[in-house]
Amino acid sequence: MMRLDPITRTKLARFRSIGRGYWSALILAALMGLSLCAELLVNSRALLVFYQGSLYFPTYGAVMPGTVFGEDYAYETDYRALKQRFSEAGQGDWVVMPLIPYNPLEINAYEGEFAPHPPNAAREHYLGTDIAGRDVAARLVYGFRIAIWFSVALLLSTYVIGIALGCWMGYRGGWIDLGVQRLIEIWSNVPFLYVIMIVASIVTPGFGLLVSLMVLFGWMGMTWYMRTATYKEAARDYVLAARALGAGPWRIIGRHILPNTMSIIVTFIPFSIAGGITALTALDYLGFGLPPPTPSWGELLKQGTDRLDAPWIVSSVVAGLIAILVMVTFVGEAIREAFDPRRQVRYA
Amino acid sequence: MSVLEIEALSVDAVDGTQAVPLLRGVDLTLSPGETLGLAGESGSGKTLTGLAIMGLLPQPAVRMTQGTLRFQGQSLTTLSPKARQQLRGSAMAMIFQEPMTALNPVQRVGSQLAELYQIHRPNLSSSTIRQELIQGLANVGVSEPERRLTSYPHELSGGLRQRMMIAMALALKPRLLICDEPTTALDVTIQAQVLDLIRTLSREIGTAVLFITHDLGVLAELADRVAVMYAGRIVEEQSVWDIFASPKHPYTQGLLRSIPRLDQSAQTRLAIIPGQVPQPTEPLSGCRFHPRCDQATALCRHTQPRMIDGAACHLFGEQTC
Repeated sequence: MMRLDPITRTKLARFRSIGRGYWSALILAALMGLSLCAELLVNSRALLVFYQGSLYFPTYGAVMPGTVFGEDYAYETDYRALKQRFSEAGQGDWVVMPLIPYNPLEINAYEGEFAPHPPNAAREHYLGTDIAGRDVAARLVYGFRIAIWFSVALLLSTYVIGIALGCWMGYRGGWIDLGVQRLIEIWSNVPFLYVIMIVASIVTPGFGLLVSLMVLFGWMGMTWYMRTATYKEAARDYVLAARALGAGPWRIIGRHILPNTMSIIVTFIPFSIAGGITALTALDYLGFGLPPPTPSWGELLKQGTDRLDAPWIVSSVVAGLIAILVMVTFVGEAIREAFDPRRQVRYA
Repeated sequence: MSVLEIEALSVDAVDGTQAVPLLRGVDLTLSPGETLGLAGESGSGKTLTGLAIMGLLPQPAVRMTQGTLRFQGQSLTTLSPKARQQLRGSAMAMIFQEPMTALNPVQRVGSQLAELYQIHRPNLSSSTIRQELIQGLANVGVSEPERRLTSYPHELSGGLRQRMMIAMALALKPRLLICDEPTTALDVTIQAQVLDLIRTLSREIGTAVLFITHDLGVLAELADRVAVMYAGRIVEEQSVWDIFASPKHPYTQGLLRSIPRLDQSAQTRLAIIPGQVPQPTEPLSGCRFHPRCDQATALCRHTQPRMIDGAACHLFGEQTC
């Protein structure tokens, strides 16, 4: 039985009543969900192939060589060409391609033209291609998937560390608190960008390494808020009452203090997500992020600003970035508004 | 065997290098089923005594510096923090003054009550716990206990919350119950019910009760013995009959005089004890009460009186040295 307490319910109702925040949250959630099945929406592999009476689902699974569909090559089927051939042959075979029939890594060349190719609906390059001839729309979608889930992973890890340590500092207080505070201050002064540059010059940072590096230098922020919040909660009577029941420190932190500081944590989440996306984009822009040819917004932005004569690149990525960040900010604003304790105080 | 024996308990507040004495030489004993009232003004150290017994002093700022605490013959001071934590809630329980804030506002009452069982009786199934809780709430006179379990604290009245706290404190049948002014925040009718409850339950279970209050009227009703505290010391300890019939210490006499009486006319000024309770930081030789005592002698001013025949006063008993 999951019953929310009435205060949380009024908070949620208030959040829902703030239209732009609520809709932004829904759209973002939908985009994040859809990004998980991006292979079905943006892919050079077909969704469905009907060939000689049987159905094929090439999206997931092993590569299907051209010979499967009666082509004369043994490398992966070019489904766009296959689609054209089937419709020309008119033997009842057909191919269903995804919305954007390109994958983010494939390089498209067109005779007599040089990349970047401008947007062209007939070729289904709705946002054109980048300077290597890769579809911009496909790279935007896959870049979004990496950026948003990177942010979520970063958020989860930094919050787990920051909250646990912050609560512990606040609950124990005294010398432990003072000592850990000073250590955090020292650690905060390690220049993060230099560390990233040094690491990037030695190894190529993958997704996991990049998240770990950013967690390593990003967990400190949350400790301050949790530390003060814990101090405030730990002095309250119900904590003493819980201790009088024989509850241990971690039970008190986990079951009594943490739920009472939830509104602080929830309020910070959207802003951390926005921060994570911006940080990854900036690193990729500088070339210290995920290695090429990983689809990334920062790398697209870099290309776009280098090639202002191909304005479709920079305009797509800037529009995408603005749209996502604005929506995240709207959500954050609405949460802050809905969870504002001053709005719940009733003066009798 | 007595449930609780406190000998020469001293508690200091440590502020930097300076140690401020808060409790000095407190001796108390409690037998099973007995109710001991601990009376005194605000700041006299009543609550601190309770917290010291429970091991809940706000360390490291306030700590026990001397004395022995024995609980059912077992020394508490040498026990590990973990072992003391296990005693809390099961063998000894405490009810706090403020029922309004002693419950976690974001948790259902039922899950907070259940926590006690999860800590001390981890083998019980949740349906058994639920039955025990309903029984426990019914015992403290909560109507519709099933429904109350799913309430949040802010949905309950002060009296109900205090009953919840009492139910929680008594759930595991502790040997010792410390009540820290449990009725101060309640109105008089609820107060009477709560006192009744504590008395009957302590009779039934045989729990020893240390009842902390500044309300002597409550003690007259409830206590078997009364100890009066003043400025961190126990100044008088007698049976409830003797303390009201023949108070020995001038402070106790003053306290009793300052209770409004029904047979006085409304115009009579209330008797007061002149002066203020000394600050714990104030260096004061002799009896802590002497600046406010109208019978103080030179002896009172420089020699600390010992507890003899239930009173720590030079005016009573054979005070030597």
